[in-house]
Amino acid sequence: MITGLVMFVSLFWLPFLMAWELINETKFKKNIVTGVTLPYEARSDEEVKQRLDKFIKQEKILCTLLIISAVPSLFFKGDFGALNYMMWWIFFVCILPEIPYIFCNRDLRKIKKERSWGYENPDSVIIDTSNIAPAKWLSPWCFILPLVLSAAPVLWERSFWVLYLADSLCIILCGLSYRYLYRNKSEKIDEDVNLTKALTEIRRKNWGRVWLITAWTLAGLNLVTACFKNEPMMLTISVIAFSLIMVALIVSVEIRTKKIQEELSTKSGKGVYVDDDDKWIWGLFYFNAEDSHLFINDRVGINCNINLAKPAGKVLAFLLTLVLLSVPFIVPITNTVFNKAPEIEVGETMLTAESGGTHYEIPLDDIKSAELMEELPPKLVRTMGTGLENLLKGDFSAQGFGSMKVCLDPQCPPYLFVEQENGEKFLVGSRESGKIAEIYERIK
Amino acid sequence: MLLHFDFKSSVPLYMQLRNQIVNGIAEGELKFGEKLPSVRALAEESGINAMTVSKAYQMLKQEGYIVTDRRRGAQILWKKGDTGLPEETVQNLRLCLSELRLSGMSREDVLKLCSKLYEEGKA
Repeated sequence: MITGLVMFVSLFWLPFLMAWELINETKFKKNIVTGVTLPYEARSDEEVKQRLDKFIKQEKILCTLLIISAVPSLFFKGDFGALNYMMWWIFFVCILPEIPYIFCNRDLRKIKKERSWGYENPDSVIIDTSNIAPAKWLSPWCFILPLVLSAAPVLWERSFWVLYLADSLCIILCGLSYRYLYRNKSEKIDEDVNLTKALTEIRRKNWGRVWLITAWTLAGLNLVTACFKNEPMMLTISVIAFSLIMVALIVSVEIRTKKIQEELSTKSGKGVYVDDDDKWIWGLFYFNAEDSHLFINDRVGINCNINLAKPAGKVLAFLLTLVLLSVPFIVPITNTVFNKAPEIEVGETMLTAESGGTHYEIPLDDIKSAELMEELPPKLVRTMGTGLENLLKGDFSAQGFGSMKVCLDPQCPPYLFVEQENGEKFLVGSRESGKIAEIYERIK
Repeated sequence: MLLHFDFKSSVPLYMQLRNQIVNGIAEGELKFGEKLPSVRALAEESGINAMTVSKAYQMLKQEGYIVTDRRRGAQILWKKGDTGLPEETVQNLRLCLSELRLSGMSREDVLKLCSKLYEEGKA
């Protein structure tokens, strides 16, 4: 129930965001509407308007249905059911809203052809050298500073070291993505050189902002984690708050960029204008064999895309599709392979505890002390591992106990707390009643 | 300056770029000392491979049309009437005249065509 609630609260807004993004595509930006380049006169064309209105209506209905369909996640009793349901839900939220977009794109292309609005010339490219401005990149220090802050907690707090280093690696990736995923191409939409310069500058600045926001939020997250490591509630709230702040800031940059692109191009499309629709499949996927670049800029907004005509582009697209298709199967596979009932055995010389991939061995001679606990230690926080309502395993830390390795079902007390001579601590349990007490007697 | 690349042309892309820059200098569109876009910037803008752009720049440098510097990038070097006629240009002209003769054009027609193209270039 709680997992379902957390998942619902964290994710219910996803269809809103998807619908907003797609409905926003019906506003002319850089002469492009739902992935189709149209001239100025198309803005007042009745058939175009009607098709766009139909698309908006479809997206709104779909958004409502998707939000309603997330509600059942609140009524699942176990973690597994809710997680499994929400993974399928995420999968459909990512796929379904794109279908009306593709149909709208197809219909607008048809209208464009009927009206003879397009002038596509896939065999040549014309560039204006006066539009090529030298790229002004942000100083590397803009990323080095959050990187240092992100890795700093490792110096005084080791229990979450994996998280600190993973986030630091993400900040390095942010810096590299900022520099190398961006295609430094002018945002030319017509013959107006000043407009091209303005649009190019806006995109470049906001592209940098997105990566800076990500880098600094990750650094902040690490610092907050280090501060609240013994306060599970505060830690959970902070993680959710930082994630929401990051998403909100990035979305706001995207909204602002699109708004400016819309406002600056309100008068464009009257004379000569750029039209490269022939290189965009359904207005979503870029395919241009004459372009030697793998990463290219999306035509609207600040995102980047992949050139599917390149072999590496095909491989990347295949991997991304594989990731998307695997989303609904993540929970069942994880559950089958890793989330097995904790098993504890004691032999002649060794105490072993294991559960799907996690295996602890404690030599009996090395045990310094053992304690039978009816309740879990206070403020038990997971640093790395699994934390379900019927299974806790991996590295945890607790107030007054410090770091420990855990392998138990929190619904099946008692638990056995063991400390080794070298200071390493273990908290293990079993679902078989009386087994832990029996092992404790034997160890004692 | 507008650069036009035709992907279906039999003329290689680096040669198309080289020819357009030479034309640009001859027609006064590119002035002495004017900066050309960097190899990387031109490649990103056009979608052409950076190696192709680099090859064209190397060729222009060898022919003495541009000078490249690590700090300032590529700059136009050629001044009108700066030096004599390169032997390669004379050879190319000879070949073009042979082709025109074979196509059945008279001496007067060829001179008229040359005069027209020369005037276009001056504009």
